Amino acid sequence: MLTPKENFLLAAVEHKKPEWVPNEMSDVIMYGGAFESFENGPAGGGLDGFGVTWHATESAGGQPVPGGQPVLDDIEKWEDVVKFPNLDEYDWEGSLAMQSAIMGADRDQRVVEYGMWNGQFLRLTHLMGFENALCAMLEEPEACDALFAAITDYKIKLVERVAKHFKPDIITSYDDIATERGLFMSPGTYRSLIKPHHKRLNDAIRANGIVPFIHTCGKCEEIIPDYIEIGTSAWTSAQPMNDIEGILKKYGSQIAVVGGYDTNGRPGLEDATNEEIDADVKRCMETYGPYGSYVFMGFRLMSGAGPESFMEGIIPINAAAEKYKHIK
Amino acid sequence: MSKIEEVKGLVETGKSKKIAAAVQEALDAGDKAQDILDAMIASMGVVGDKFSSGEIFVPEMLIAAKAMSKGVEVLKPVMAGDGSSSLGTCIMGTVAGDLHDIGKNLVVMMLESAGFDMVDLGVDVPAEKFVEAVKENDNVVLIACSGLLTTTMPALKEAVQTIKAAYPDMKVIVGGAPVTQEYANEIGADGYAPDAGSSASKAKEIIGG
Ligand code: B12
Repeated sequence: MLTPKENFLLAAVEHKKPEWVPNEMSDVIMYGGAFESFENGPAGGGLDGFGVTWHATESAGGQPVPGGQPVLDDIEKWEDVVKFPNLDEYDWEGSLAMQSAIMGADRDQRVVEYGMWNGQFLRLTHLMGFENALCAMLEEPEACDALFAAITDYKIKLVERVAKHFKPDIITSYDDIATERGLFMSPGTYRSLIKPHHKRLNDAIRANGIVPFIHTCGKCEEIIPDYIEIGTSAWTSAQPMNDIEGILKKYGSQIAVVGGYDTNGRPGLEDATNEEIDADVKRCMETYGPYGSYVFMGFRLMSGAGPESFMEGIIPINAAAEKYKHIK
Repeated sequence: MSKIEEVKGLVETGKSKKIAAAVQEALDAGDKAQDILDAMIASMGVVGDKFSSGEIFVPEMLIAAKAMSKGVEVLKPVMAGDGSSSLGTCIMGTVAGDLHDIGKNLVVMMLESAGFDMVDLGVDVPAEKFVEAVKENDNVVLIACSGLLTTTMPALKEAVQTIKAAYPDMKVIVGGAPVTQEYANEIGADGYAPDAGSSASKAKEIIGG
């Protein structure tokens, strides 16, 4: 029998049919993400390495959320205003030890995935505020392009540090570019202004011997071919307002889909019943599982400040995933 | 092309740097401020429809609204004191515990361009604050509540119920990604719209009825 890690990689990286449907929330050691204070501010809120203020909110399950006065008003002045985190000052080995203690380190059994949060587009929104950032992309595309390039340079340096210290199998770039009903920006704007930077980052991840995944929430099915073209191995946190089955049918041999659970519908509610949860996990496993190139992932947003409340939301989902993971 | 046509084009394409001059030229050429305003409102309607149908995206809509408000700035001193075109005051906010405001801001812009006087309470607004705002402002005809998280849907319900308890006849419209018409009915709201484009006509319908 395969280890969970081998089974996961078979689906997510080789785009084949695994022995059973892997589960992102049980087969993966997740490093990075909110652990990195230079990206999301210190625990409980504060400044990140870019000078952006973060808050922790209860309704966000204690997750950090950017806020405060925007760092950058006029995109044309970014070179004078924007500063980047100093990655050499960071205690990489200490951070690795802390994260391993919390998340585990059974590397032979589980996949190691480093979550690189705040992608190029999101970082622009954190620096400028969402609305100004969206306007800037149309009004000052050249300045945006230059800032995206600088953010990508920084991220490539981060990839090198992560490769050296964390040695992950996968790096996932989190760049949320979609809403419930479609992309934030037109596909044309994505292709001309953001995609080239996503590609350069993917290339750098591969050059460090690591497999690149990209995360976006929301309805983004239009740009799946673009993700494939820039060498993305898997698209993560797929929500079912996308035609996930159609995507697996058409593109499953080129890109894997991680997700499926209806995190924004009834089964995603804090008060969802076990029957509702069970039914949605079953739907995912039965609809998407048979195509291969699919990893199940489901979570619920819970109120409450700590990782405990997040875990509490996941337990019944994972239990159902165990029950239905066998591909018929 | 008439000056008014030019102003309309500048709103639709979101040219906020050029619009002030164009509005001024239209005024100088003898166009009435009210006609220019109506033309801009019509343009925002076109923009809203294109957004609803997926032809344009959030950035295009934002720059159009920005252009409109720059144009309105030029008209304001000319139209000062002339409240005839107002549909009344609408109070809007994102409910308690929720910090999402992009959708709310777009709805504020659309309702404003449709002729409501908007009072924006911002994000993370407790239910009682909506009630206080009704007291503090004149001629409130509508309250609009936005909620983007499944965990804040109960806060949306609480907002509607608190408002209705204090002002049983006050009209309340709700929206946000997880909200549906069904949910709006369930919590006793008077209306729901799926996007900013359709929020203006829905709001007018509610207060008209
Ligand atoms: C941008 C965004 C953020 C930004 C918000 C920035 C800002 N200034 O608003 C940031 C990064 C801060 C953020 C934070 C969080 N977010 Co968020 N976010 C989003 C995202 C990607 C887009 C939302 C958006 O702006 N859409 C664009 C606008 C135009 O659309 P809209 O808001 O739906 O509004 C339209 C309509 O709904 C309608 N409308 C809206 N309000 C109203 C009101 C009325 C009266 C009417 C008539 C109509 C109406 O008109 C609008 C215009 O057309 C969504 C993804 C998604 N699928 O929606 C997640 C999403 C909403 N976020 C989510 C989560 C989990 C969070 C966080 C908890 C965690 C995190 N770190 O991401 C925190 C919570 C913070 C908090 N306490 O509120 C989840 C919610 C899941 C759930 N089960 O509820 C989503 C769905 C992503 C996901 N799939 O997991 N987020």
